Amino acid sequence: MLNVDTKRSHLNKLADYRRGLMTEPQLRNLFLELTLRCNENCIHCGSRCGEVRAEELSLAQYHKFLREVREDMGLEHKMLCITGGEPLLRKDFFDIMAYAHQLGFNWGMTSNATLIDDSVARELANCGMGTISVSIDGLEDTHDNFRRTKGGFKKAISGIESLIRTGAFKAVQVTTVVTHESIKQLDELYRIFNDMDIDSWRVINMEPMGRAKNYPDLLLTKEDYITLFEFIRNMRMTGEPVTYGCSHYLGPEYEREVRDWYYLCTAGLYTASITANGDIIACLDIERRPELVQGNILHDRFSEVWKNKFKEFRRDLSDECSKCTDCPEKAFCHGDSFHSWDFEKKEPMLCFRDILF
Amino acid sequence: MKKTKATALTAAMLVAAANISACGSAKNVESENNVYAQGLDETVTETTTYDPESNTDLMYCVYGPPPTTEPPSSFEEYADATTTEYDPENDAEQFFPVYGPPPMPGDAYMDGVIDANDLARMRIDYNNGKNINDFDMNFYDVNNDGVFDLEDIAVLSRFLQGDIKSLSVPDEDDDDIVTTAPPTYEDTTYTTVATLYGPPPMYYDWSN
Repeated sequence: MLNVDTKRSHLNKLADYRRGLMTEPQLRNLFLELTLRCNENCIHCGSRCGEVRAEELSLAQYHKFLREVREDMGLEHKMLCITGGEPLLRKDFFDIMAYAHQLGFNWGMTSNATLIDDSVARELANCGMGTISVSIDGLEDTHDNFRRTKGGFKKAISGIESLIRTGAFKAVQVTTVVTHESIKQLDELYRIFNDMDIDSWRVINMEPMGRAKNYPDLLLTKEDYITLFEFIRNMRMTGEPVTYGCSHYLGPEYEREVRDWYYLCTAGLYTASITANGDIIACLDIERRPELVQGNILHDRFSEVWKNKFKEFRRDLSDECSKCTDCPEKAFCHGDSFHSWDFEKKEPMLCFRDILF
Repeated sequence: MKKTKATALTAAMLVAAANISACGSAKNVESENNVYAQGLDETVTETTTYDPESNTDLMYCVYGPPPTTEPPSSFEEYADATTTEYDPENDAEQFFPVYGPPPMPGDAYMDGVIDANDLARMRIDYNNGKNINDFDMNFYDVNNDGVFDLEDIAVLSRFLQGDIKSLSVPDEDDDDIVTTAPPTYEDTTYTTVATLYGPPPMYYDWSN
């Protein structure tokens, strides 16, 4: 709908910028996976949360790590992104985040909000939380079944209301992972969220990764994708704060129209992550493979790892994929997102060519 | 859900594009509804000062949309902003603001601030004979004469020194006004904020 030639001009510039980032990456998003424990059991969990596989980092280890990051890399342009599992399951959650706040870090988190009430919301504000994204994956029954948590929907809504009542946060966002089953519920969900004072609604597709691979029937069809993107675009045309996520190159039709930016996978360029046991990786959504672990904060200085490693992410995936060779969008897509890359077959698990363009 | 100025701007952009598509010819778009073109005065560069002490400028949605440059104080102002009529020869010029930073003559670095870095950038590019495409001309053609040359560099230099108050092209009847007033641009530190999964500043020139 928007001028395609202009979009291409901008995408070309972005491609140039990305090439620059490959040699001079700039850390902006530092994810901390505080725990893999979770009080829900989501069908689609990419991290397979609940299956705790190693010891978690201690409070003292987080303190040391955060001090080193601030000392080596400064605070400017950086944000801590707290995730899990369910981060609030950590008994020392507020100790960790209060320290981060004291050091001057800006931070936000993802949560299922089932553990959030007014007092927790106030404590989050006291610890300097700026933004939060809460998962609501469908209407009540769908949400509870999808997350295999009875009463989860009501608790999540209640948690969101507590956050909004606090009035202390820059943004309270809801994230909905859409499946082939829940795509029909978007209009009703909109009516629910429209009555709430949330700041934005992020609507994304279920990805074929983690536990979701066991449920291929829930993945979106080609028609579902069109429905999804048309829904988001129509919402945005009416001024609603609805957005798609950061993943996937969407092609000339939908790029820039279902989100306020052009596609760029920032893994290893802008984004790094620390897993629950201290491993340094690019993005927590990427399949956990040993060869993708860049180091561990228990014996490596993060700033050195960020500067000298991450080579696997500072390249074009499309160079490895025969399907990408003749694709006209290759220069903008680069083989698409790292988290949906099939490292065995060396091709994207989800490519919107032939779906959207 | 909260509708904001940013979402209103997005809506206007998409609706206008839909109208253009429906009309089949952009010449039918009424200039007063053309939300793509905007003069320098309406551009959004409400910079924020990054305060290292409080580090308060970097909050953004964990997964949310990037804070774009701030829109004008009311959507109505923006929608009714004086625009030029659609000119096919300058098609790209009409649409640029909604895709990225607003075209700001002199802002060679396209970071929303006109400062000495932009002057240095322009000098380097001029000396290297860089080909300035139509899109870049919105930023490099400071005196709006359709070419990028030494005159643009001279005008920008005078502006930065405070010899001229504005980079807008004066009317033919205006007398040249030379002042010794200090520069009117705000010398603030501009922090480009990206979202958790959001965009980079897209127009950083990595060629040098």
